[in-house]
Amino acid sequence: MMRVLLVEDDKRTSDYISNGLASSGHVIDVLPDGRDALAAGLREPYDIAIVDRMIPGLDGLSLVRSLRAAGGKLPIILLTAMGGVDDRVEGLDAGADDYLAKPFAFSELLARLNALGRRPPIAQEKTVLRVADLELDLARRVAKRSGQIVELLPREFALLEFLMRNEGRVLTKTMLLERIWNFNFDPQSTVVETHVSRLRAKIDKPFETQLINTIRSTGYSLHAPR
Amino acid sequence: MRLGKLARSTPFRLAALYVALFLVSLSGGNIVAYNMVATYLYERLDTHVMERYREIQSAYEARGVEGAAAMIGSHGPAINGQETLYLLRGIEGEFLAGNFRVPSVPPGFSTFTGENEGGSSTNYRLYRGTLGEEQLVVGVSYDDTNRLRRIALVSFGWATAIVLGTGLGGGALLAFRTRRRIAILSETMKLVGAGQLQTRLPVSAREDDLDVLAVEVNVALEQLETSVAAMKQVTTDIAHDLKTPISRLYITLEEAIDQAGTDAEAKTRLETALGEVLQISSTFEAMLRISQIEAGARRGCFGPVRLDQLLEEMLEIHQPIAEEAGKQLSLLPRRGVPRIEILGDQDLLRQMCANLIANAIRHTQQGAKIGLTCGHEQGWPFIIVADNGPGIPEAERAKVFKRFYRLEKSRTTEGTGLGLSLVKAVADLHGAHIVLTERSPGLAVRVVFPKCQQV
Repeated sequence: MMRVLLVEDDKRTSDYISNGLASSGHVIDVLPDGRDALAAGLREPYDIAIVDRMIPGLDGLSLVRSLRAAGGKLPIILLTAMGGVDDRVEGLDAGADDYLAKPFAFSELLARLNALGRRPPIAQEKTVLRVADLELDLARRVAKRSGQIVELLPREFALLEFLMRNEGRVLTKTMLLERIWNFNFDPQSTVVETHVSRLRAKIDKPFETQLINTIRSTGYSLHAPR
Repeated sequence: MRLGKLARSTPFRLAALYVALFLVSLSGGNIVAYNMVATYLYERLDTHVMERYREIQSAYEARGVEGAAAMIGSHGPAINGQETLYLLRGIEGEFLAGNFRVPSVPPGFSTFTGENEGGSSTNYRLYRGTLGEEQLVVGVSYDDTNRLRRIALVSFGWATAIVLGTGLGGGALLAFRTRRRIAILSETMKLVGAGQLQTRLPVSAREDDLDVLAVEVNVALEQLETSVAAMKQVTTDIAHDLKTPISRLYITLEEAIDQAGTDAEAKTRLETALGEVLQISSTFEAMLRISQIEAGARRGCFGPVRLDQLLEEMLEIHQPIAEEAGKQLSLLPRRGVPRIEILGDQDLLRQMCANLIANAIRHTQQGAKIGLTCGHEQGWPFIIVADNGPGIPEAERAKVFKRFYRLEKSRTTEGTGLGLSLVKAVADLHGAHIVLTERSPGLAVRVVFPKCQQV
């Protein structure tokens, strides 16, 4: 359960997000005004904030800047109607942790929320990641499944590391494109599908159980069989 | 190098031309003036000689040879050319009176060079006339006249030299100052070209022609800045006003899909509708992106980009995709230097390459080969994406960069029809041009970047 601050003036969108989050078991405060949101953001111990870029009172970018200037470490996802070339960079420069262009699937927002919010701090310090019988040695850059060494290309290693760090969480195709390939645009090709399938062929296919799961029309999630 | 540049500048050339014209007229005037001075000096000399002659002549007419001799004697001996020479000879040519002797003097005016004690010489103007039976020769030194003539010549020479010096020097100074002002203007315009539309040309208090020009350019820049800002505002407004309903439509459909429950047919239809909404949204997104790139706002964040590394990365990403599609993607061996570096926007260049490669994979037949390469041609950095697919008919080549233009045979394949427009926009932003060539069979897309963008 996370406590989420949602700053959004469009009732339709805020209902949609808060309904969705509530049914995923999160607690949401919705504020349509930027100034109110700044006060609330500084006062209340939220786990994460979702901020629309165009809101009355104080615009989204200024709100993010003010929160950061006040020293807040609150993870922030910016929502925007503008998906232009510079808009993303501007948003991240202002101090947002993630950036999502409208329209977005709720699953995309949820995945990003889960990836950002309250990540167990220990996962950052581990040098060996383990999921079931899959083992990734970050220091020695070695991947093993059932004790067998699996040869991975550098980009496949990065992909597997990202999936394992987010064990059990859904990672969307766009998130993978941004994080692994640094593509902040639609590549017009099956970059993610192809590379995930290559990775699968190496770490899943030769073994009994499948660890990389496809989440239909959303993305992928790596976890031990449930 | 600097001097060469100076000599090419318009103000200097104008100054040099003006100085040349002035020199021609000045020396013409000087020659005429010099000749007049010289003529006057020699006429004055002859008058002087004749005055002395008449003095003696009138003494002779009054008192005969004795009178003339007395008058000659009163003038004293010849010393170092400061004086007048006299010689009175009798009918036989015998010496009667005077202060010098020469064997023969032609009648009328003539010149004579007399040796002085100590080796120096003096030039004289002589006049020989006849007084009754006797002959009288009178001479006056013209060394002073010669000296005056030389002084006139030298002074005219100096005047010419001074005019030449001040003319050329002043011209160079003017040219240098104007050049500096023009250099400042051209630097400022470069900033404007780089997308910094808020830049203005400096205007001095002189209000000269350059300032008038600068003011006019500033007015034009003002208008350009306003219209670009207005265009951005319109884009933002459209983005907001159009994307909000699209976003709500999307939300409605998603919720409807959730609530459709077990009604499989309704669910499929709703999912199709959702797909269409996504297509509208991504087309819209692509158009916004292209307009933003075309507006040139990104030029501010150009940095060094290694084209060779970019292609290697693209190969690594797209090779498996091509393989899966039954095609072969490879880096072609390169000629020349290993590092190909340009000044550009890394993110956009990656997107441009990704689009070109995705296009090549999408529009070629099974088993097709696609090659990537980059290089320098006479210092022009380029990248090439080539395939041995069906190519593009000559007549359609120029059109493929137009928005939403799609070849007849590819209308049914996926894509927004904006991929190549984006490629074109990115190329234009970088001042690069795109060349499409037939490879029989196949197509080669070559993006040639400008020379000066080398880092």
